[in-house]
Amino acid sequence: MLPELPLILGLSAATAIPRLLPAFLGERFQPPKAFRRWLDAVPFAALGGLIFPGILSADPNTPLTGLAAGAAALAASMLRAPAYGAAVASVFAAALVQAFL
Amino acid sequence: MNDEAPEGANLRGFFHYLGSAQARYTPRPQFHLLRRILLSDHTLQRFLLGLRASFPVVVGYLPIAFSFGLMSHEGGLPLWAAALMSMIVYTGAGQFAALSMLGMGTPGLEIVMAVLFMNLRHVVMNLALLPKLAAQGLRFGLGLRALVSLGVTDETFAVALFSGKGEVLTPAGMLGLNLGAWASWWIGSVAGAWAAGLVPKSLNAAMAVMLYGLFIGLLVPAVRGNRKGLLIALGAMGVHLAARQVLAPGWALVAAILLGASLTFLLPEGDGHAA
Repeated sequence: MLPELPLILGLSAATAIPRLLPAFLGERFQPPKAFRRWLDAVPFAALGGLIFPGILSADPNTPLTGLAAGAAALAASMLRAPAYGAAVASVFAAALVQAFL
Repeated sequence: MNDEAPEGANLRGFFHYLGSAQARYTPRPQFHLLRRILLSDHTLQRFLLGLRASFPVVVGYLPIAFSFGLMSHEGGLPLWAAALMSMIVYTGAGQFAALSMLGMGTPGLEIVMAVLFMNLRHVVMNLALLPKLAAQGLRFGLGLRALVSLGVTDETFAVALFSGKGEVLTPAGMLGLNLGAWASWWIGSVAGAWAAGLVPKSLNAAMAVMLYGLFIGLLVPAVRGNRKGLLIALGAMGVHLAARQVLAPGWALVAAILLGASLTFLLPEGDGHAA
């Protein structure tokens, strides 16, 4: 009936458990240094993995749309636009490519 | 009972006076908690200080949350689901990642695993944050610790630790900070999902790239002057490309996160300037 509900509840657990764990562990527990180092790297790995190669198939017809969108977002954020500015730039680049193909 | 001060130096009268004076100034029990919260412990002030400190986070969250609402609509998620997700999942990159994987038809378990790994960093953040909260006035018991912990994000963590002289670092201050950020996140999401119906149809196909633009917009400032972060991100891209040949899409992303982050052990320690 509500196919999204189990997924949302699962995702809720996936975000709540890491947040709540320290509240229950108490203040004496500290994770090993190597684990912290690995965790510091996770956001970079996650963003990298999310961008590529998925961006190439954002438009099922041609990878050019994704490439143009990626280039536009890269340019916008190199010029220090905020993240949503890069997102908007990528949409306009993609629209442009789709209009000419 | 006679509340007037006794006239003479009568000892019994003096004690009677003391007792009645105390009776006059002790608040009635039913007001005691309210008075404690509002006045004597400055809990309300701390809460408002935290709420005020959430302002830059709110300004940063609203447009991103709005984009999430827009994209959730493009991804076929109903408005209630987008709203509920922002309320109880409450994780920026994780929610976008979930949308992106949903769009690829990734099974739920793989989406949940990927988001779990993306959020493991909150273990370390909350381990660092909780001992720094000076629990003045309120008993910082498990319930309150859990409530504060649930609202912590990368941004509220950074604001709490680095704003001013750390005046937000109290349980009440954190609740104010977290509440402002959380409310802006789901309100922005609802607004975006609602406004999605107004987007011209000609832009719909182009909207599919918006998530990738956002991810790039998040990654570039994070790796500016951080070569190690950049190498890890590029490594994860390579792992993802390779893993896709042998694994289902969701697990390929999980592998990219796990192995990509492990590259940190091959790179010199530090922020990467010397790498």
